[in-house]
Amino acid sequence: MNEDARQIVHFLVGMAAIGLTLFFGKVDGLAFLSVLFILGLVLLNYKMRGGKSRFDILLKLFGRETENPPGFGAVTLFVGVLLLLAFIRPEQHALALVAIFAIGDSLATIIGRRGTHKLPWNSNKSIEGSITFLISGFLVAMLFVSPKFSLAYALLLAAAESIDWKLDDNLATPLIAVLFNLILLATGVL
Amino acid sequence: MAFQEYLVSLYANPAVAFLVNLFQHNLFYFTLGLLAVIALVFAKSNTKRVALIAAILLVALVLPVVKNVYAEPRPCDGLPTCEPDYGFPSGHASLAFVLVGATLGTVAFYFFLPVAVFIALSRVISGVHTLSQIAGGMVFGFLIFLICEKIVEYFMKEKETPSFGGKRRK
Repeated sequence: MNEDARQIVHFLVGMAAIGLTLFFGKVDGLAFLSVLFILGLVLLNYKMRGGKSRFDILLKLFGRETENPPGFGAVTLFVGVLLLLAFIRPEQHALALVAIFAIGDSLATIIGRRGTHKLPWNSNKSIEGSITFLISGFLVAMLFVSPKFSLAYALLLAAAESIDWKLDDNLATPLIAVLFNLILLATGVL
Repeated sequence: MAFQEYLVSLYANPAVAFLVNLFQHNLFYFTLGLLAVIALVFAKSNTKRVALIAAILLVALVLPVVKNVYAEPRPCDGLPTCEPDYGFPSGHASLAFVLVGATLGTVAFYFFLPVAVFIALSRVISGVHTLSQIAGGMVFGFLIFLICEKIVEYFMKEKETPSFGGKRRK
């Protein structure tokens, strides 16, 4: 499956979560993602046990072909978005972070793969991709939170995304966002 | 919210109430222990077994702190039968999804996933959690297991079963 197509699916999952939360409420957004997460687990388990089916195309839509187990990205994507939507407070900040994660990350990957200037600390990522992440993330987050928080979140997630955490990107980036949000909550900034 | 109210209304059915009560209060810890032993037997590798034990301990250790940070009350707050701590994220759902993570890739997964979903929903049916609190618990438990597995794999250097998110060898 083409990486650009995979990123478009990544973008659509984020948009669906935001749309459901905005129009029907957070509980419906979480319920939708939970169902996707459980279906993803069923497909992943089937694949890990060596099964082949017509549903393989679904796993390829969400995950990279080099992943092991194949289709793991399908599950981590839902875990990442679920984590942001469930754990970030207040709700507008959760929506801003899901938007950065879905739009910023997708655009950064599509443009970054064509970039020629590699980051000094991670040869798998490009400067073009990180700048795209920062600018697009800042702009989409402004739809939900103030410019101050938009910039802080976009900077944080762009930095987190650029580091090789030895953990799936879809898990590491939201985890950093949740920890940052926890610090803001604990210190009374939010 | 309509779905949550529907789930709570199911508790009036004696059969549902009996099943739900198997996973409440002290009986849950007995059931969890039993399920954890089955998960240990079916786990695919020693990495997963050690990660399972570490994840259960980590959830038990970290969860009270996380609950106090979010300080989200339970839907039953104020009732005499309500548990005294906060509700987000659900501990029952967290522990159930640690077991799901440990059995992923085995035939036991087909038993553990429905059981975990039922444990999570049973908390809504009995009125002690909201749907968003169990969604938080599900993702919390699963994520803790994945992190524990990565850490355990790093220390054990076990290569028999490639870890989640690793690169496939050509």
